[in-house]
Amino acid sequence: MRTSPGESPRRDGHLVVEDLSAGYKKTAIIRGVDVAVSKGEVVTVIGPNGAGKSTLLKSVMGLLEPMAGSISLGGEPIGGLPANKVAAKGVGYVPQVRDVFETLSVKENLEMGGYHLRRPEVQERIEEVLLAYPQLKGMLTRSAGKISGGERKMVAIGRVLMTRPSLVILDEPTAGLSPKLAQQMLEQYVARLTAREVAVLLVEQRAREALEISQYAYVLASGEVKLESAAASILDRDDLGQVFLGRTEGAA
Amino acid sequence: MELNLALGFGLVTASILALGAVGFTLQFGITNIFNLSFGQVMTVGMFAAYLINVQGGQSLWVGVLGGALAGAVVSGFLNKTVFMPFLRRGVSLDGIIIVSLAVGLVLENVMLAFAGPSFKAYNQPRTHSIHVLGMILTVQQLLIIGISVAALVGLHLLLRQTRLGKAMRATAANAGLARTSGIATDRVTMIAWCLSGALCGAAGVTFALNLATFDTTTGSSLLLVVIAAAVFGGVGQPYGAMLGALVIGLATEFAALVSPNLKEVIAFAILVVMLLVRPDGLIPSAATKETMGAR
Amino acid sequence: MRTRRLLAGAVALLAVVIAGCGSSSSEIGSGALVMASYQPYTGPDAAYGPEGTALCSFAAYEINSGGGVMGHKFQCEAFDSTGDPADALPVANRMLANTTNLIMVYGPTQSAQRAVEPVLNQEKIVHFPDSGDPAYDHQTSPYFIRNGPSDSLAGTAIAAYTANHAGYKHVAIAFTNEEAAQTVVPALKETFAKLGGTFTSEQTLAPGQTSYRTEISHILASHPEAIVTEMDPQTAATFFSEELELNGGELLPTITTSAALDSNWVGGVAKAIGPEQFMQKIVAVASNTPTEGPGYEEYLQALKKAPNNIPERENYAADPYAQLGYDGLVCGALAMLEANSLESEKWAPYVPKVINGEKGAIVVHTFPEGKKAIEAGKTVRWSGAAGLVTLNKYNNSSTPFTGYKWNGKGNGVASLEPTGGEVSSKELEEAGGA
Repeated sequence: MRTSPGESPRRDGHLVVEDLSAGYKKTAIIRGVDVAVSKGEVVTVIGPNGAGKSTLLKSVMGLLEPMAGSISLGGEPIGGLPANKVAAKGVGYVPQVRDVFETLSVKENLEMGGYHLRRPEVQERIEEVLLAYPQLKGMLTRSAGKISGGERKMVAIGRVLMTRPSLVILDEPTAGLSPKLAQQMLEQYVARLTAREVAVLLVEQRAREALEISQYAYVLASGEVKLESAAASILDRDDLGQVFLGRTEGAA
Repeated sequence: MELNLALGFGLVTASILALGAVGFTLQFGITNIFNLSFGQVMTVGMFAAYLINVQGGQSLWVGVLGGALAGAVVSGFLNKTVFMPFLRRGVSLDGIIIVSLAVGLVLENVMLAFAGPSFKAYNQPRTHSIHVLGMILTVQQLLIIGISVAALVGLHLLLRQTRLGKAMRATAANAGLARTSGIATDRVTMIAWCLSGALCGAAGVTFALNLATFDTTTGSSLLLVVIAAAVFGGVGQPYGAMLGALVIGLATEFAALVSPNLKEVIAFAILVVMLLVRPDGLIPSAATKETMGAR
Repeated sequence: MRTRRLLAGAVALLAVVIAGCGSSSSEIGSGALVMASYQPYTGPDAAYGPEGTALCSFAAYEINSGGGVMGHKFQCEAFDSTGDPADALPVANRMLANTTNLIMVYGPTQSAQRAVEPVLNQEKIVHFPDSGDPAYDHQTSPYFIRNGPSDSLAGTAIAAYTANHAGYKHVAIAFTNEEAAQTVVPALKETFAKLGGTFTSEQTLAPGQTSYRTEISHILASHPEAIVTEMDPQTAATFFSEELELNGGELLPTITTSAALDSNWVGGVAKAIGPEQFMQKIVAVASNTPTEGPGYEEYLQALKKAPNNIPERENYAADPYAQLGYDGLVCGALAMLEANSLESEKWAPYVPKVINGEKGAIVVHTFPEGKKAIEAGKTVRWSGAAGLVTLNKYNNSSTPFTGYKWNGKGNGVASLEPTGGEVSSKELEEAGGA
């Protein structure tokens, strides 16, 4: 058993990952991973460095080809599709680093987010993003490589919102931000995404803060899911510190 | 007086050089492939224009278009049949440089087999000279400057104003992120190869026109100075390449005032000093060239 | 004399040392004797290769039409010396090691010469270099036969022609900075000054540039009576077309070296500037190279009838390099007959004798004619495609020079015609050459 007492593993959701193995060259970094995310909820994946969190995200996004297992979005298989096709299916991905086009202006970054949209739609969506992130209004013509870390992350998230995605994947969005800014980022921007009926798959180092805005969580260690449970019940555990490192009593 | 003259002559050289340097840098910026077969693709352009102009009896300006088209086709073909497959197999970018060198040699020797070693020249009416601001330029040279300026302004508008152009810049800045934004980067890359090939072909024809004759080795002998201009401005930076072409074009003519023997030396000395002072070129790229971080 | 782009020779020097450990010359067996065209077939000098193959085929045809030498027919093989000294030597070593019945060599060109010359001499292979490097002006190997002029002699001759025959005393000089062109300059300057001439402008050009307009403006502003020059075909085409552009569609009178007689030079430059200006303004000062007379007619016959697949063979009808190369190889065969031996040690000393003619020698124009004379116990002097040639004791040419211009008659772009100004051997001697 790897679930908390009283809960069974989730198998339903908008995004369903089943028995996924993936890695680089011939070496599998994650093995037999099951993850599910529903619309309107934030699901966090936590775990120590090298656990395979980014590998999981990249496989979902189509940046890595799965070795085994299946990935589906809204019931449609997307495993093995190239990233641009996955994006076109409504998945937005914000990588941990190099998350904007640095040589392009803020506005052009947003336009690239809406690459598949028609011209009038692009303008409309930019307005929409600016409504959510009014700070960006004053810096539309600035180069995205030359703005502060927090603003940059807003551009990165704003960029993926251009397509009105059904799934947003965030790889450590608070990395490099001050604690205060990090909390603000998670509470105000990440949590609010759920109001748009978006499924959010989040990987975070700031596990406690992330769990606080999440509905459900997976603990990944050594490439396997060691624990999955409602976020709140993990937060309640006494051995929280151990859990973050992937050491749980029920570990397989 | 002499300075003005040299300025005018330098502008002609710079215009031609700019076509080549921008073509080289455009493709490098997007693919990171340091393509040493670029010189021979210029030669392909020269021969295409020769077929159109001398064999086909068309005007030389149709030849320039034909040269650009041939450059685009060959360049796209090489990407599809050589560079992409090698990259897919995981050959390093350093390895690809050697592949491009080999591709260039093959191209050159195929052309030698078909065209022979003798020199070729275009049919062109001799145009009269125009004196402007102490410069002496022929109508033909003004047209060359015009073609170059038009091509570069066109490229500027493409890169800044169109969806495709922005997608090219996005791919150059961060190909992985571009893919996750829904950009079909393979297609964008292909278009960049073709566009770069078109500039390359046009540069070849105008070079050959300026040289008066050419043979199968002419393009590769010009490659060094094209690369110098591209590197000068920060390789991968189209505007830097334009500036690099201007500086090197003018510097070689001004150098001729002092010591014609050292023309080439002075151009490259400027380049070396430049690289010492600003290793990334005049306009360094904001984005680092690493791939998306692993895990 | 042939102007070419050279790569650094350090590697080549090293290679010479290594090659010094090679084997000695091989025996001649039965079967055809091989004449090698050791020339660049690839790289910037790739035009030399086909020229070498062509002239060798003409010579083979001529020799075979007289039944060959001692029962052997002659044939040609091509070896690509590439123009890069580092690549030239391994090719030469392979040629020497793997060629059965190698009898003589046409080559090397200047770019390969310093690397390859020691090996050819050590292996006792008679060779006819088409290079003008003055470093070999006083060489002593009997296997080296240069029946074309050295660049130093050419420098003296061009100065004497310019001052004494064309009558120009104020000229601009423009030579490319390559070794092969620069070797002409010292003798030219010295002789021209001695003859009372002055230089209005001296330009040393970087070859292969896209523009020489600043240099040309400089020359034009110095108001010379003429330009004295040597450039490779590409540089010359660019230079002269830009000169036309800047000088109102006219060239200044232009005096150049025999580099301009190369068919590739003529073709490239004439295409670039058009035939009228080319024929009116350009004069090449070269060692006497007739385009008439019985020896030349025989050459034309060989040129037409040689069986091999030779593209554009008519281009070599007025090409002194082809003519001299042909003459050299035929003289080699005649020397074998005179020595009655195929051992190079024995027949090599007869090559200068056939070229210069000993006392009482009869002048012959065809190989069969020469063979008959030798069989009748006479000695011969060859007067072939390039007419009479004189070698000095260093096996270097001391043939008189003539100014040539092109007249638009005959085959190809234009055929040559003497301007009437001949720089005699005596004049060369007085001016300090040879």
